[in-house]
Amino acid sequence: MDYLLHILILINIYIILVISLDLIAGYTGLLSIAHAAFYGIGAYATALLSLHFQTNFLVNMALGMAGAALLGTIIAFPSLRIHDDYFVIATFGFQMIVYSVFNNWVDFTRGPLGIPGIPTASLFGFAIDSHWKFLILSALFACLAYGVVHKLVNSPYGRVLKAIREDEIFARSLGKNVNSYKIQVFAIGGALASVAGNLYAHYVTFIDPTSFTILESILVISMVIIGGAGSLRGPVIGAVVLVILPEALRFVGLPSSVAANLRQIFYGSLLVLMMLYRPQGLIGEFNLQGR
Amino acid sequence: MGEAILTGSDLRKVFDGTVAVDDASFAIGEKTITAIIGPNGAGKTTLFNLITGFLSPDRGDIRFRNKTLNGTPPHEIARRGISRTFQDLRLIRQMSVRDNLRLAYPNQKREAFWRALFGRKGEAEGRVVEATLRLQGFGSLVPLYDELAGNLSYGQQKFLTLACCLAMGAEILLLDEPVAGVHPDMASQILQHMLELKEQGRTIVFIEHDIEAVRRVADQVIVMDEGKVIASGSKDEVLVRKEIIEAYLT
Repeated sequence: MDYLLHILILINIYIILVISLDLIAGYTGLLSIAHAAFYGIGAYATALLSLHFQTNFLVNMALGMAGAALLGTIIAFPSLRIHDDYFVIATFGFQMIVYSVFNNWVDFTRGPLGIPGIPTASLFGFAIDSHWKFLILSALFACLAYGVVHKLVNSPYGRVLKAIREDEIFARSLGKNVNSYKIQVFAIGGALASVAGNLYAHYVTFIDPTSFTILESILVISMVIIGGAGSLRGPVIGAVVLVILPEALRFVGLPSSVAANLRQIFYGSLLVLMMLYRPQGLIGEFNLQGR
Repeated sequence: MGEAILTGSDLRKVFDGTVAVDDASFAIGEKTITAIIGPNGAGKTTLFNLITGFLSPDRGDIRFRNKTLNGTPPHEIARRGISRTFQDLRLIRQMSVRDNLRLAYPNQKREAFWRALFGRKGEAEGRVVEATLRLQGFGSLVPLYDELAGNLSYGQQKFLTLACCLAMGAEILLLDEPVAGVHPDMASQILQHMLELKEQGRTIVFIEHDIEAVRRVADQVIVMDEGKVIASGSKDEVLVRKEIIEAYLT
């Protein structure tokens, strides 16, 4: 039973990640592969704050969000001058920088040794100390993230984001401050992704840099693309599919070493097929490939 | 010509050694229609890009109501009241006609993050802009409101870009070839709207190659060639010059 709950908790964490990335990449058209950096900042802020300052779950979350929003603001700056492939490469650079900090600033992050002993979350004195409780907590935050992004993208604010995605020059000519929107979206998306990091750190109680590599960023963008960028349900479906499918492979009866490799091949093949036959994703409306 | 609302003096813009605009000066009268004519590559669209902030002049000064526009970003210039259309028709084709118009409406509170998140739902601004446009003679767009902009005919799309400029509440409209490639009936409709907009107090500057269109609606004409303004004045002064008609409008 705990295994099933574990999968559901992971799905909730990934839903927060895909929803926040969808705001940036799907709705605003800024394809970023630095999302694991925001995720990591949330997780490291949580680990370091709760261990050194004994801060509670919500304080960790708020400070992690602030840190990720600040990083998001910085990452957004290249998007004001460069576009498309060049911007993707710039976000790759940011991802590598943040990963390097996690991995090499040993005095601060303990580097590859990781940070063990992160306390479980407690909310208003109520300990979240079982899989069931954590499932409810993570589902609550996944719903909140979904609600925030849903509200934004279905408002005049979201209309401007879509206009920036489709034709930035036209949006400028209509008096929209495109630069400001891009910075805001990265700050908001980054802050939301850090919530996933916070939950992850409190859930597994141990973090190390390998959870926040470029591969993690690619996994999240794959979920968005496979589900369908520029829709809300699409990336959620993408997250569910890509969390469950590798787990399903465990039950085929293959040795774990073969299954792990098979999983990577499966991911890759799925992405290639989606790009070839359904670039807008399962239910998306926006074709990231066309950028 | 009435009082000059928009002026440019000694404007120069060079791209990789090619002089696109060369010491160009102009003055646009308030509540007039000015046509900019000239051969391809004369610098007409570059001049629009300089006025609207999409390009910065290497030299010279652009003033709107006596305030310089130099260094002002495009969105700020649009907010001050100068709207434009583009030669390569720009719209959000994946959005409905209604959403394109609502996008154009200025100062919408729920375009701000906190208001979008916590503000009350409702499209009061959208309804206002639709009512205004209907009064201004754009009622023919109403049955098309729920169509995707990309599904409209080319002429209808051009008409929609004009309506977007109006939805912005702009004082000055810069229209880049507003009737080029458009069915004659729709072209006539667009030109008629330009005249009506002037009557309503708007100032229009448009780039055009079609002499009949220029004759029908323009009050002033600016002639450009190789980046320079080689003639300007009232339609009656400029369009009687045979060399100009032969060189640029036929």
